[in-house]
Amino acid sequence: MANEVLYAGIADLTTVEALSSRFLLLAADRNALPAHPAILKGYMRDMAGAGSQVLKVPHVGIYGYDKLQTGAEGVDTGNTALSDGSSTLSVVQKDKVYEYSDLVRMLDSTGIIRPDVFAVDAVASASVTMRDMLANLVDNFSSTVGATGVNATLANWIDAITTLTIAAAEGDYLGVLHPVQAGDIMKDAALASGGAVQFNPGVQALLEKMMSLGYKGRLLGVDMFTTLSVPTANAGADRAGGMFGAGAIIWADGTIPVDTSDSNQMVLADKVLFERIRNGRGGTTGYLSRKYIGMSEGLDAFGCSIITDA
Amino acid sequence: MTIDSYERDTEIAEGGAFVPFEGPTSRGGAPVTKVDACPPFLQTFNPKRWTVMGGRVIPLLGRIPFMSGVNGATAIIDRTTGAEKAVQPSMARGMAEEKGHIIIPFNEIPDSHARMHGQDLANKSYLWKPRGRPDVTLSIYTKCYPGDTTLDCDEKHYLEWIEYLQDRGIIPTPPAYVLRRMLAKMEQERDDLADKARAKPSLAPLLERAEADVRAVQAELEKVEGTRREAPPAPDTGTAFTPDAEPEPTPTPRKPR
Repeated sequence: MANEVLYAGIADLTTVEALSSRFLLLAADRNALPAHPAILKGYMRDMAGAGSQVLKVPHVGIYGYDKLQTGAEGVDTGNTALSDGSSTLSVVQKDKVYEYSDLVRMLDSTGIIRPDVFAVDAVASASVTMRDMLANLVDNFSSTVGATGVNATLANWIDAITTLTIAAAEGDYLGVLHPVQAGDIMKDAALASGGAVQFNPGVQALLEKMMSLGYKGRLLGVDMFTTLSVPTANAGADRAGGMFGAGAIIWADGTIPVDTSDSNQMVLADKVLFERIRNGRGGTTGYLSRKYIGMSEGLDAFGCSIITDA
Repeated sequence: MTIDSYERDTEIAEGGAFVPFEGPTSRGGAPVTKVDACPPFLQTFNPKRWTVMGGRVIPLLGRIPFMSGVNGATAIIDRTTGAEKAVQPSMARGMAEEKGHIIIPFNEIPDSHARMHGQDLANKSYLWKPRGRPDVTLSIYTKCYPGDTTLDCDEKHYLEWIEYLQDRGIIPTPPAYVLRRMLAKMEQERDDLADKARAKPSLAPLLERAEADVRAVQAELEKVEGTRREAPPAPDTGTAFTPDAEPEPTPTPRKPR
């Protein structure tokens, strides 16, 4: 028969490809740090009104640090020196801008080019930045457990807990590991451990939550968080995560004062400034995300790096 | 058909051959590595951190990451473009040195290693950046591959570098007390592993590795203690201490009659 309407013959009625209204997110570690005591107790202050972006954090040996010494009747008691030290941290500006043209905004079919989407991104990006900064600190503690080129085991996890306990680190502890390390520990717990561990309800619950990044649960009383931001050690042979208690990591941020009469700027959750920047002449609109944050190693003894095969 | 010669057409404009860079999406272009982003860093030596690699006891080097906001590092920003021009880690360096860490300068690598990533001897560095990934900085002893997330250690050259640093006196060799502590811990771990390996033969390679590590630490300890025995005794810089003997009892004053 003739004159069939075929796909190949209606070029003027079709397009080469259609754009899906649903999209896939590119792979990235989007998990934020948990609101964990080991992190929250390391928060020093909001730098608004501090007078400097650099904060010196004193370490003081008090409240039971020095024991009483033996005295004698009628004899003057000698002075006990007050032990002290300090860490320094600098609060710096972290920001980014997405700027798009009016044409893009007009043609957008995905629904991404919208202020509310960028507002959510602002808070998420700030959380990811903070997580990244912390992950780059946990690899550097003086105490270490694990062996180069050897998979992480449950014994390494226990050794880290013991190390921190001996150092009198205040609990709860938080373990920040690369997913390779966490996977090795869970495999060891599931396949190579005895009944005391294998049949522990906490371990079993953790085994059920093995997939995906972020907070995994509690393993032997210590919280576990996995992130791809954990750096390498020994020239890439190993991953260097860590476990720490309160005071090992200290941090500070700053509340950015906004002009309340200006509807183009607002402070979102987590003290993130979100601001709309309009360029009418060029026909573009930018959305700025900004946060002030600084993070440093505090008391080195309150952390233990877990360095095992990558 | 064979083209033997070509006479240039003098009417056309002058120019040169050009091949545009098609990037990693073309069939001909090599894909860029897909490792996670990592900032530049300074390597540091911490006297408390040691490990065993390739049958040798080596320091477990730390890092000072060049990330603004981490350990007090700040950034210099290009005010016209907003791009980060440099990161100043001076506060981080100061804190590390205060803790007794030794910072290893970037250019402290053997000349032969400078050629690993096409560096010239005037600008040696133990860092390199894979092409197409300005957000990735790796040690020159870290290998990455096109289109892949895998990272590997160039163990042979890494150990050569550690030996080079120790020979030049930039970082020390492990002290005896550290080796003794490592040995005690590793022997215990080896023994525990040996018990498990009896019931689980698949643990045999792991046990072999643990035994090799113990032998490495023992050899290093014998070398250090042997060196200590040969060296003349260090001058006495302290004095012996014994607790004070019990003092004579103070005579009780007599009451006047």
